[in-house]
This record gives sequence, C-alpha cells and structure tokens, in this order.
Amino acid sequence: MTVSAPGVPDHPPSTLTEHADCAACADTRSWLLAHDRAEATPAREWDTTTFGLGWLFRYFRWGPSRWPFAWCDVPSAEHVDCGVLACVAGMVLAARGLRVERVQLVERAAVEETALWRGRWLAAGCRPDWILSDREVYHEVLLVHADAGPVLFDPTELRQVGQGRDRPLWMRQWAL
Amino acid sequence: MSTPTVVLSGVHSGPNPSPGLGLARSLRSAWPRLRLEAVDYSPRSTGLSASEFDRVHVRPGWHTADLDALCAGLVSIVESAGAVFLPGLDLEAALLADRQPGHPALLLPPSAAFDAVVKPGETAASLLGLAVPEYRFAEGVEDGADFAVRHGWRVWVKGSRYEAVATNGRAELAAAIAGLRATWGGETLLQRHVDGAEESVVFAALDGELLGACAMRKTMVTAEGKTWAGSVDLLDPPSRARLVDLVRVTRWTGGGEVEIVRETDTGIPYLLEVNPRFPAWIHGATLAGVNLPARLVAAATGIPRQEREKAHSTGFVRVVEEIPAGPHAIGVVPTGQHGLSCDGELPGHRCADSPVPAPGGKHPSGMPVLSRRLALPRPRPRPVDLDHRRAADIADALLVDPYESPARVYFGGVLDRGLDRLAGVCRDVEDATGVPTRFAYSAKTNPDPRVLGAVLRRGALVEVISQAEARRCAEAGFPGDRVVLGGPAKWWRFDGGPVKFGAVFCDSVGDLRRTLALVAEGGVYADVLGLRLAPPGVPSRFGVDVTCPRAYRAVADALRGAPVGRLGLQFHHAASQIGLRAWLREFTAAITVAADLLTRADVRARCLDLGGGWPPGLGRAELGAQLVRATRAAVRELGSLDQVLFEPGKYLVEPAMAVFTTVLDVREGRHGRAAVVDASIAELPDWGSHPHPVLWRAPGAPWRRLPPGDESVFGRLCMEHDRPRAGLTLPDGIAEGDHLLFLDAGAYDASMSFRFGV
Ligand SMILES: [Zn+2]
Repeated sequence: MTVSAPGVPDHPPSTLTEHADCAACADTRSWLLAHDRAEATPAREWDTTTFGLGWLFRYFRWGPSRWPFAWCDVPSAEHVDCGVLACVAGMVLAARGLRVERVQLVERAAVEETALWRGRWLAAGCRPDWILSDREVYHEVLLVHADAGPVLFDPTELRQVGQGRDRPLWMRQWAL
Repeated sequence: MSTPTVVLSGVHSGPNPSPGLGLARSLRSAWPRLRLEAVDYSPRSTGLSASEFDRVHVRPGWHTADLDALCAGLVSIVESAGAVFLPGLDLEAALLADRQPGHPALLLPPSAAFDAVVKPGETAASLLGLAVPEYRFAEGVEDGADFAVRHGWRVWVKGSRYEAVATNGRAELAAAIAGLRATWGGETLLQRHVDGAEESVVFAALDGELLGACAMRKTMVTAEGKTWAGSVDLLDPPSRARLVDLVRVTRWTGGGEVEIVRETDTGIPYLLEVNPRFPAWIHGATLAGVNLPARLVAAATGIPRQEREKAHSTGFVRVVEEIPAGPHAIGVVPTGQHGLSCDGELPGHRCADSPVPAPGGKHPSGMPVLSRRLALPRPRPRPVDLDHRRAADIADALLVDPYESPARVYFGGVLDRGLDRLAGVCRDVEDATGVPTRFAYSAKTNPDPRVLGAVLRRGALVEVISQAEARRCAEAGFPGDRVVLGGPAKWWRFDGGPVKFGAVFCDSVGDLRRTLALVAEGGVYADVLGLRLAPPGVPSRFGVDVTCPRAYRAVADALRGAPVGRLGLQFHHAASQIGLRAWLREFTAAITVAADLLTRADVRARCLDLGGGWPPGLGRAELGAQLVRATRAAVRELGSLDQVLFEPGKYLVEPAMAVFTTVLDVREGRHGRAAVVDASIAELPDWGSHPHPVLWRAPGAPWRRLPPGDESVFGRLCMEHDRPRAGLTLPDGIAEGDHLLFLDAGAYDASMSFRFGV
C-alpha cells in the first residue's frame, strides 16, 4: 500500500521511559498490573472487542502527551496519546499471558478531524507530527494473539480495527 | 378467491410499543397486496391511524363485555374475512388460547405453552439451558425488602402478567409493589437484577415445528429498557437446538421471544422472560433478512410468497414519525362512550376542552383491566398469630400493664440470641478458614448501657468513631485492647493520650500520616494499625481507593519504612445497601490491588476487618458463608492472617427493641383506612430504611401481626410525611385505645430518636 506525502513513518513504536531506581515508575507498573488483576471476570476471557481494558479510561482520556513520557508520568496524566495507551495496554495484556505485538498504522481521517486535532495538540504544547497530512494520521495499535486467533486491537478506541472501511492505508508489525 | 387477509392485534406505537405495526410492515414486504386488518381496544392505540392497515376494528374495552363474547367477536372478525390472526397482546393471546383452544386461524401458542413460560419461567429456562435469576413472590413490602436487601435493592418487580419495574431502594420497592398490584392485580414477583448485556431470540413456529429464529443484541434502550436499536445475528447451533426442544415440547404455534441477559461478572446467561408473541422490534429481524411473520403466515395458509427475504442490514434503529390521524385518535373527542379514559382506567380527568394535553395512553389496549379481571379474587388478609418465642419475648418485656405510651421496649432475650448467633458465626469462619475471628459491636448504632453490658459480658470487642465514644465504652468496662477506633473524626478532641486501642483504622492518606505520627510520638498505642479501603466501583466518601493510581502511590510511600507493628486492612461498605454479591466483588477488587501495594511497600497485613452493614435478616449460615468467602479471598491475596474482625451494628440490635404505641383514631381515606397512633417518626426516625413489622392488640386479646395490604399507620405529628408505616391491612375491629407495637426499632430508631411535638 502506498501513502502520499509525507511518506511512511520510519521510527519504531513509542516506548515509555523507565527511570532507574525510581519507586514511582515501579509503583505505576505495579498499580497497572494489580488493577488489571482486580478487574478480571470470566466474561473478559472471550472479549476480543475491548479485552476488558475499559477500566483504563476511568483515569485517562485520549489526548496529547508530551514525549519523552515515563512510567511515573502515568498517574498524573489526564490525557494520554495512542503511543502511551499502546505501551500500557501491551504491558497489561502481556502480563495476562497473551502474545502481543506492536503495530504502527497510517489511517484515513477527515479534514475537519485533523484540523481539530492539530489545534488541540498545539494548544497543549505538543508536536502534532503524527498528523501526516490533512487526511492521513499515524496511529499505534496492538496485534493480540487471542485464543480465537490474532486480533488487531486498538486500545485507544477499545475496538478491533482493520475491517471494511476502517482498513488502514499502511501498517507495520513489531514483536514486543 | 378473496384477497388473503391477516388480522393483527396490539398496534399501539408509543415508547413501549406493541408489535402490530412491525408485523404489518414485515407482512407487507413479503406480500405487497396482502390485506391487513388491525384490532385494538381503544381509539387511542396510535397504530390504528397507520397507512399499513386496510381496515381497523376498535373493539369494546375489556371492562365492558363478557370475556367469552369478546373472544367470540374477535374470532368472527377473523372468520368472516377468511383471515389468520396474529396476536400482539400477551393477555389477549392467553385468553384466546383458553377460550378458543385449537382454532386453526388463531396463530398463537396452546394454553400449556403459556403455563411453561409463566414467570419466572423455570420450565422454559431448563429447556433452553438458561439460569433463572434468584426470585421471590412477594405479598408486601416486608418480605419484598427482606429479599431486596440481599441483592443491594437492585431488583425487578414484575407484575403478575406483564410489566417490570427496576427498583434501587426501599421507597422505590414499596411504590413498585403497590403500583403493580394496583395495575395488574395478583401477586408480584421480585427478581434480582443481573448486570450484563441483554439479548433476545425471536422465533416463529407452527404446531411444534420451528420455522425460523434469529438473535438480537440491544444496542440502545429507552429509559424503560425497551429496545431502541439492535444488532441482528444468526442463532448459534446449540441455542437453536434447545429452542427446537422448547417449541416441540410446548407444541408452539405463532411468534415468540426469549429475553436473555448474560451476566458480565460470571458470563452466565439468564432467562428474563419468554413472550408468547412476536416482539415489537420484529421488523428489525425482517430488515436483517429473516421475515418470521411471513414464514409463519406462509406455513399456516399456504399463500405463496411474492417477495423473497432480503437482508438490508445487520442492525436497525427506531425513528419517531408523525402520521395523519383523526379526532378520535388524537384525543380531541373524549373516549367517553365507555365512560373510561384511553387507559381503560378511571374516568379521564382531562377532557377535550382542557388546556393541558392528555398524557399519551400508557395502556391503550387495556391490558391492566383484562389482567385484573383474570386475577382471582382474594380474601382480605387477617392478622397473623405470633410464634411462641416472639410471644414470650414480648410477654417478658411488657411486664406492667397498662404502661406509658409511646414507649421503647427492650427484648433482652432477642439480644442474647443475636449474640449467640454472632459467636456462632465467629466459630464458623474460624473453622472454615483457620483464622481467629471476633466481632466488634458498632457502639453508635445503639449505645444503650444494657446493650454494651451484654456485649462486654460475651468478651466481644466494641467499635467506636470518636474519643467520646471510646471513653463511654471504657466507662462501660471495655479495656482499651477491646476497642476498635475508626471513622474520619477519630482524633477530634483527642487529649494527647497516652491511650491504647485494639485496632485503629485510618480513613484517608492524611489520617494515616497523622496516626503514624501519633504512634511515633507515643501518644497512641495500637495493637493493629490499618487502613480502610474504599470500594472501587461504588461511590463512597470513606476510606482510600487504592485502585486510583495517585492514592496507590501515596499509600505505598506512607507505608514504606513506617513503624507499623501489625498492619490491618479494613473494608467497610454496607452489604445492606449494595447487596452481598456486589459487596464481595468490591471487596475482592480492593484487596487484590491492596495486596500488590503492600508488596511494593514491603509490609504484610496481619488483621482483616470486614466492617458492618450486614442485613439484619441474614441467618448465621448466610453471614458466615459471606465472611468465609471474603476471608479466603484475602488469604489468597495477602497470605496468612492472624485475625479477622467484623463490626455488626443493626444486625445485632435492630430486632432487640420495639416501640409500643396506642391508637388514637381510625380514619377512612380515599385509599382505605389509616390508624393514627401516639408515636411518630420522632420515635421511629429510621422508618425510611426498613419496613417495621407491626403487631396489633385489642384489649384483652393477644398480639397479632398485621398482614400486607394498602393501608397505613400515621404518626401523631402535623407533618405530611409522618407515616411510619404503609402497605398494611388493618384489622376489621381496630379501634381507638388498641395498641400497636413497631418491631425492629432497636438500631438507629433508638439512637437517633428525638423529642418533637411532645
Ligand atoms: Zn520514574
């Protein structure tokens, strides 16, 4: 598949900084795993739509994150971008024993959307470099190897992607 | 040959629609020139104005004629048109199955099928491989409340025939029971609310043979829980096989709907109900390519289909649409020809000349009237004799006669038996888990010296929420190591100590830091120092929600290296408010997160306090089992424990006191009689939290318990809301000077009573 200007991303997926000897970084990871254990239900086992990750959105909403972003930045963040969510969700799902790969996408967007997002990111003092053009955006999701087969899962929107009209323009997999 | 004709009943289209209009649209899409006739029981049934119908019949309301004559009239409409009939009204279908059994033109299930699906539908559920949510038939609000409190008040109250009301508290429960009984007659069914995704299976069958089925998941619902949008899917083969069984065993003919909810926490599918007709959203299935009404009519009549089934989409939404309508339909002309309003209820208060628009008809097809006609008349209930033990408790407590009135009466024997039960619960938990278990009586619930003395003599602990309460317990003889201190104001008016407690549970991160400082300074000594955990999923102003990332970090920081000898964790949220199931879910979630937090802080919990708020009606086995489940979950997460505590308050003292009153007046009102007594909500301030059972005694007669009903007891105050008890049947002979005894008044009714109007 081809993408028009400014071209496909060449950087790897986002990673959260883990400070050496930082109790707060370790506490954050501990909190995420503890909370996920506390949310376990039998119904989650076959939920390949949200993977039972709805609880994350009790604490965060999607929005601009300032990079570099560390694990100890998570508790105080009100907004997190798709890179943070992919890192957090990837760690949590991997801890459940699921094989998870990181996936980079380029997706279609409407001109009105990209205009709105660019304004939001600039207002928060963050670089909107993920908005590749007025109609194309960079996005990070996960490939989760569930019992029923691999699922392209978007932790930002808690849904499966890649079907029908949502088919991405470009995509690349990274083993976690 | 005459034009093929189908007669449809139940064509109202409102917020809670009948299926008639959807059936008409589905049949039209199969046969564009089919003749469709509509039947309903009041001109206010809005679908009668729809252009889908070639002819409409407004039948006399259910209150007027003889039911057999009404059925015969309907059959004659069907027969004279050479038509088949699809019912859209449950009760009409049931009545026709009973009065016109086996009529080949009536496409409805046989009477035996109605019996198999009657609420709560256990026969149907077992055939379909579904569970049935816990239920109870309730006569009145007392037995209703006893059931509802176990389920956190989140129950459905279902009418004997139709309608279900979700309730979420005692007042709503009482209103729902009274309202449904008045509307539908007969008994009400209470059923636990199941949290989960709702699904429906719709099907059509002819003479025990399944003609087709599909599944629908509700994706949008109205405030009443009615479908507003849905996604339609094939039925999975195992479910289909079970449905084939149900249809075969019941020899089903006609449409049907199975309503299911799949519980989120457990994944278990529960049967909500089986409807003996097509659902109102039936045209949504047709749009998805499964035209069940057409399959049924084609199979029953042999009319060849003109149009093939076609899938337009896999989902549907509803829209609201304005259509032309005549004066009878829009309510300009009063529906006064029968002397009844459009609901078929009482004469309409609003006429055509009223400036205020009439409310849309809630039951324009008159089902409540039919339901009440079909309900068996029941004799007025009479007061019930007491069992020997209750009679003996009262005789022991009321030694002098006559006595002061109103007066609070203390049942020492009831308290002793409650203490026995609590000791038994402690032994049961200890035997099942190996963890030493004790209870701490919540002193604020009723600090009566007789109660504190009895608790002290049993060697139990006491739980206090202030320094003043702690001193009061010390004066009553409790040593410091048998006092548990909790609450948000524990250091209010603290004199600096030194003071000793058995356990201190902190209510916030700030409280934890402050208490750790007091311990470090030597002003406070506590065997156990701990933290109260807030329930993560229900709102509470108390404790620390460790599932919140900032609180998690703050608590971990506060505990790292803190001088805590034995650490405790307390979880206190009233199971009488949220139910036993939700309590255990919240507890387990909080403990699971706390366990990882303690590992991060490198400390171990030794003591677990499971708090209070236990429903007073729980038996020893039920309370014990709940505490055992919680303790096991805690041991699994935290490792071995030295001690389990719990803090009964109402559980122990609520039944140990009553309020004795005298009847001052008996009056007739619009809704039956009411007795006015010399007590009031000042003596029964907790009247709103639980319905107090009421005993009655005429001079020289024994005490008897008043049965459920629609009558009330009013208090002596000049305040509209001074009605300490409703939902009773007063005895025929009740008179001024008789006595009433309000039971279960030993908890906050005692400690929070006030002087007013005396
Ligand atoms: Zn850090």
